[in-house]
Amino acid sequence: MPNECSERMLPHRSVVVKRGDDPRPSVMDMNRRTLIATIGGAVLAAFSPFTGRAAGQSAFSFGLTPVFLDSDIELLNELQSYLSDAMGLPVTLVKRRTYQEITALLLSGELDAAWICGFPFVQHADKLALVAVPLYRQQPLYQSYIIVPADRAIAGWEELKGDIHAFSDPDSNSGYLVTAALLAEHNQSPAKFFAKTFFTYGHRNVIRAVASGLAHSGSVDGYVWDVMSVREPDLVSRTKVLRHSELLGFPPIACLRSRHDSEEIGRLTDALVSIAGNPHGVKILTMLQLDGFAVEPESTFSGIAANYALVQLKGG
Amino acid sequence: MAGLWRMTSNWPLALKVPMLVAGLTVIVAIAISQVVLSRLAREQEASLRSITSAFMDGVSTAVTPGLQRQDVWETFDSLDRARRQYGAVNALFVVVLQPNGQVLAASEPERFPVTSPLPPHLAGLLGQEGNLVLDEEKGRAWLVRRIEQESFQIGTVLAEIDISDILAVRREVLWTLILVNGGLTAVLGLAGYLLVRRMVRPLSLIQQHLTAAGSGRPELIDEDQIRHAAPEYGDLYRRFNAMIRGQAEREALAAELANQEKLAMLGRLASGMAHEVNNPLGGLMNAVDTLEVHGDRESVRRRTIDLLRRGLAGIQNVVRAALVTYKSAPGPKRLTRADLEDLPFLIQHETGAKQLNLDWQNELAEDVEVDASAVRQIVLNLLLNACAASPERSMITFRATATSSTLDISVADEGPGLPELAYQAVAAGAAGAGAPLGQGLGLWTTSRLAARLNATMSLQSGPSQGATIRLVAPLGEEREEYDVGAAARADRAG
Repeated sequence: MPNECSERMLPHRSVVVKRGDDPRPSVMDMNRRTLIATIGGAVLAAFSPFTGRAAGQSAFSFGLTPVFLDSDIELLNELQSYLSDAMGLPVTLVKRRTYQEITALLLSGELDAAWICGFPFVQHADKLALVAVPLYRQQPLYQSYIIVPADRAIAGWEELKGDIHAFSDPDSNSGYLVTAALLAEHNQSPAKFFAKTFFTYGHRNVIRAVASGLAHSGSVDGYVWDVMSVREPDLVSRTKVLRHSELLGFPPIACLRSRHDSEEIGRLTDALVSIAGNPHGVKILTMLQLDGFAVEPESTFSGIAANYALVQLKGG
Repeated sequence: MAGLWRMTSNWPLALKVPMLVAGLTVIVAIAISQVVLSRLAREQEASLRSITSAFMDGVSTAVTPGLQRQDVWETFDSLDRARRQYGAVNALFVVVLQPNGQVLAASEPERFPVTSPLPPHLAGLLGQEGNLVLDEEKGRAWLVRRIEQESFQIGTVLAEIDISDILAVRREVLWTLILVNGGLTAVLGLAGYLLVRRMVRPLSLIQQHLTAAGSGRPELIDEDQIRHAAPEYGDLYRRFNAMIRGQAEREALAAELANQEKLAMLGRLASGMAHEVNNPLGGLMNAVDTLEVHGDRESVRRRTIDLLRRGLAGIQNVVRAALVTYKSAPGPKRLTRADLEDLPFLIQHETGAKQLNLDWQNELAEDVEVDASAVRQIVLNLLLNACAASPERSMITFRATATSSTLDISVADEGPGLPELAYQAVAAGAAGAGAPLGQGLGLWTTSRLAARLNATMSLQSGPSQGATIRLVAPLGEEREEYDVGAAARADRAG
């Protein structure tokens, strides 16, 4: 299952990638991404207080989506530093090129835990367990938006038929599943309803695609759109929200169900739940525009599971 | 070319040379401008080709992964990034096409929507693969690059480049060349004009003096100017002054000769008049004696007094004609029929001596607007010449007619005809030139008088037909002022 939650960090200020005069963060530079991940991991490992621990004790590996790693090195540094301190373990942040890779690494046990999306979580609910769920506006919930160009005269989502539509990721809840489920509910599928669809592999890219006119409409994470509307108003103001979805479970931090009761996962849970009480943690939350983390029941994601089931049922 | 040469042949040098300099400068300027602009255009095009080729290399490389996967977003993102990276290229749009001709992505997606075909006016450019297609009128250039993988075409990239900046530079250079060359042309033309005017100024001086001489007011060139002139011009000035002095001397001599001729004619006239007066005087004296002796007789007294009256009347006619001819006030006076009628009295001595018949045809009906004094002088001269040339008992014909615009007078005789010298004398008098040496001074004087009236004198003569001299004078026209002695006086003053 791909991880959607890592994309949520996109709105944060970039310290890595500058594209010409555009201060916005890069989302697609794979080479740079790989390089940063490699160098970042090595640097973090070299300066970690746990470097030189007893032989055989490996670092705690925490998975994040590639886009997240690209977006904000400062955030990565803060998060890695905070988790290492709070857990009392060396923590290694791991990123891969795609959502699927992170999900696969988590499922195969290569990662101890990962910040994934609700859609992969419900897809692999039998193997994955919740560690914590971020609190956005004091709730572990968020919405998916269907956005269109700001100057487009349109009354309802039904008029999107025949559009060129931008999705974020085929494994994204807000960036794909919600819209696919909406269409399935009306006995439609993206392939039939839209003239053409494409994936931008980033919520910010969906906004860019719609704002530039490349796509007539797009499915985007409501949390990302809201945060970006404050941080990049020039870009976001060229789009408008056509439809808000129902509230759904915010992308969670998950681990293998078989490791859920381990001490390290317990330390991770504590570190996340108590993040709001730590200065470093507050800084991280401020960057992420989140209120904190909480342990939530798996039923939080029942809405996503229902959408998944509906899409599967209708063959979408 | 020959026509142009003929047309400009009478232009002043001060105009021709600067125009030639300016023309040559313009030709050189055009040639230089052409070379510069052509070279600039080649350099710009080469530079543009190089830059755009690098741009297309970069774009092609960037979009190839997206093309391989037909990935709309990745392709668009690559184009978006490339446009920022290659800002110097000034690409207006870049379109990536799938092999089926549909747009996969474009940097201007609203203009080139995904899956739409390329607009027809751009589709035609696809055949220009690898070439830089320029449209200088629109300030645009287009590049087409085929993207291949393992010898299979996976897509095409079309870019439109704004080359208006380059063209603006070219226009700027063109205007700079025009302004600089135009300025140079103007400066060189003006310099040429001033230089040539300075160079030909001595010729202008000669021209002024020649013009003055031609209008009868010759002036010598000042010695100071001769001293300060260039050697060749100084020599020219001296020769001119020598010519003017020679001319003045000839004029003075001619005037002197004319005066002598006049005096001679006056002598002949006085002699004739004396004769005319003397002839009746004997009879008159006899009549007085008769009156003294037989005055008491009524019939004798009356006959004698009648004889005295007729004799005195004849003398009175002769004296009055002389008075009118030589004592009349100068200046124009309307010619009347009577002005010509008393002329026979002045030549009756000559006609009487040779027993000549005078056929007098004065057909003037009314007054005419012409200088009467000059006409009387001319006619008297012609009549006296005719008398002198006529054999005894021959005929002299005088005829005077007038129209509304001309006075036509002719005097014909049956003499031996006119010598060549007479023609030369008339021509010289009409041209204002000096009298030819030898005979013919009377005719030269007459011709000068005719010239004063703007009249034309024509001569006809043959070995056996005698001679006819005809004068045709315009009426009512202002006579040309002509001062015979001016040249001589100027010469003496200089």
